[in-house]
Amino acid sequence: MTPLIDMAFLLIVFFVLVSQVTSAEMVDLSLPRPTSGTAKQPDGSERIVVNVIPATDGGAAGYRLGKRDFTADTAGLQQLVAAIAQAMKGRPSVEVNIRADRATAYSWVRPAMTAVADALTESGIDRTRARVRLVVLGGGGNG
Amino acid sequence: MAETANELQSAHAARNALDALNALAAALPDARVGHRPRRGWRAPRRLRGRSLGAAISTNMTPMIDVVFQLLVFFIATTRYASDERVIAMDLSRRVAVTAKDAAHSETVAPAPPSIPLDPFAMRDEALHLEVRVDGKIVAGAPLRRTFTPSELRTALANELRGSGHPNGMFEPAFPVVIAPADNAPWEIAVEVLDAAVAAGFRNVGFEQRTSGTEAGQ
Repeated sequence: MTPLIDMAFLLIVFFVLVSQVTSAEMVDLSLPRPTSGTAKQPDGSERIVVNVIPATDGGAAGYRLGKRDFTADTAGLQQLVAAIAQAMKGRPSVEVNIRADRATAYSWVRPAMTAVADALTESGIDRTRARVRLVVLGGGGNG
Repeated sequence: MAETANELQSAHAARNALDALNALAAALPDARVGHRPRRGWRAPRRLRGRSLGAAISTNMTPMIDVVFQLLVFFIATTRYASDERVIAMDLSRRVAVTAKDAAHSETVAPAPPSIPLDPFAMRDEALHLEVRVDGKIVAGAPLRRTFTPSELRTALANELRGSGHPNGMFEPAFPVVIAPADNAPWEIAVEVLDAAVAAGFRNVGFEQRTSGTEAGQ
């Protein structure tokens, strides 16, 4: 009986920790699902995730990096740029993932990409070396 | 006579001691190793059916019930990212990330400007793909056509110069700039990017704007 209970508790601790970690960096949104399947599996390297928090009617309620939220105005975006640059400091090979809801209007996603570009410029990382990724759902085509 | 009296007395004492020992043994539970249980002795009711070493135990069943409830809850509520894929892009300059050589995308240097085989080939222009709100894609200068998202991939692949299309208009390194309208859903923008990459273009990116409400650059 004791090994069974040990295993059960271990599994509980595991899932508690995992759910905390994933909920911190992932906003609940429905990602786009492109049909051609050029998207590939994430290679599991270090990454920072910029979320575009969806609002009703295709808008965005703000942006989220890690556990910090940023408003969708100029001041918030400047803070976002600084936060991304801070997160990328000293590790230029880190992946920057951009997650946005499939229904979010492009005008709300563009500032996120611009913020990433600005952060690259600010932290002096070569743009052709930067690893920026758009997060989508697989299973549309052969991927 | 005194001797016999003495013997009698000591025998009497010995019998008394034996009786006391027997009484004591009868009072003890038959737990000693190698001791044969007295005929007719039964364990007390609460100990019956168990060995004496496991006499103290708690009822585990409710705790296991709760533990499994928690386990099922956390398994069911954990959201996995295992279905997520990533499309690599380098913002303004997206180099050599097709499905085939995606693994080398970080090490491949930007492609050198190719020598156009066609004297009329465009060099510095980029193919603009304007994504409208209704999902139609308006291709810019050299193509000047309107596509639906479903036909975009084959249409672009037909224009690409390659083994199957030696007279194609574009080389794989020809830059493709996607310019979605402000209200165009992100889904369509990603779909267009995906279609252009799938068609074989290696230099696909989103339009960079320097004005507007964004932080600017």
